[in-house]
Amino acid sequence: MPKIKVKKGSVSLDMTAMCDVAFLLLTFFVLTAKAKPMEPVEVSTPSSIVDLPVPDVDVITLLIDDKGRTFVNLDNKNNSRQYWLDNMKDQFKFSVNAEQTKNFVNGGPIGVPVVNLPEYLAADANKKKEIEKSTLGIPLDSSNTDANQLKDWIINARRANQGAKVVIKADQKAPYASIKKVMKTLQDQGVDRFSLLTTQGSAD
Amino acid sequence: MAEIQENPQEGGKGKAKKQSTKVDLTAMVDLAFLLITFFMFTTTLAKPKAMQIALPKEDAPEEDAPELSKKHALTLLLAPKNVVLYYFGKAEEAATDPEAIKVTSFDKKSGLRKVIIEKLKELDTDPDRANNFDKQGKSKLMVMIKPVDSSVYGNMVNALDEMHINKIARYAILNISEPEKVLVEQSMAKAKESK
Repeated sequence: MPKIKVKKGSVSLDMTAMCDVAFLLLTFFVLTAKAKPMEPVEVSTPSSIVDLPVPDVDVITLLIDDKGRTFVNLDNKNNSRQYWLDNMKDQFKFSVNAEQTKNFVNGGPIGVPVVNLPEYLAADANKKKEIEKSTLGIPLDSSNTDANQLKDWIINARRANQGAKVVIKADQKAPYASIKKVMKTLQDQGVDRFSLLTTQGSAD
Repeated sequence: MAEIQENPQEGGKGKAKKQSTKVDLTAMVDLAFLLITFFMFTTTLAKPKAMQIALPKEDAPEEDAPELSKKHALTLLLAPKNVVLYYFGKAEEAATDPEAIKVTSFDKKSGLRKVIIEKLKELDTDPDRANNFDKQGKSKLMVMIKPVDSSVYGNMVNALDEMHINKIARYAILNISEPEKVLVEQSMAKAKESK
């Protein structure tokens, strides 16, 4: 019965084509990759049909998470974060050392009251996370103008980078009350035009 | 004589070389896919998009507001739990007429979009059509979006998105007035009762 005799084929497959495809994909992802910017809070933005891209530089980002806590960020074009910190230092009369300054300039969104800023900048990674978890965001009590520190952060950011546009990146579950406060703060300084950050979705 | 002895030895060496041309690529493929997975998780392929909005100037006097015909006004009150209350025309008239306030949702087929499409159709088939559209063919419908404090940001963006989808040129986000707040509370209470 020579017909039933099973052919003894080779067990090893030819991996060349698979290897080619894998590396092609890998190259694609390496080239398109851009590390996610470090953000202290997870924000899931609502979707909309608009398709205007957001600029990467010259933006003041106001981050609002689902609990309504507000964080503020400015990109470091032309060392503008340094000027931003200097302006805040002049206004609030606090001092930071070289290490803290470096942390600020290379850092991301700020979401602590100014009083706690030096402590936040001096903290190590773990402590920083803890502070970000427990902070109530930048105080923006609209009833008392002195307590609205968001206003000062934005004014000083616009001084540091005069062409900066304001972008609100809020979570879809963020309470409207805090959005209203943020918009009121912007309007009070004559910022009538700003962008709401969304992810792209379809109409239906 | 020596040549004759060498010949078979060379032939044997050649055969051994031919066997070792294939390299096992399995490990390399494993590594490549591992890296692909890593980069896929760390990249953000979908770039965020921005919706431009312009708020009315704070210090603009009330009289500067364009005259709004009753027919062209639609007010949306965004309540919590994805509920939208809406009425046409003036607030004072709607407040006295409980039938004027209607309830809808953000549903893509039967919700807010349907309300707007029907209103646009009504304006389109109106005998006084010329008065309902401007020279560029845009409707004169003015939509006022008024979220209550307890509603969420996502709903505001949804409402703005409906404006984009239906190509409504005139809309504004406004602060909710006291009588309107009461209306929202009443309807929320009613919804609770019916449950």
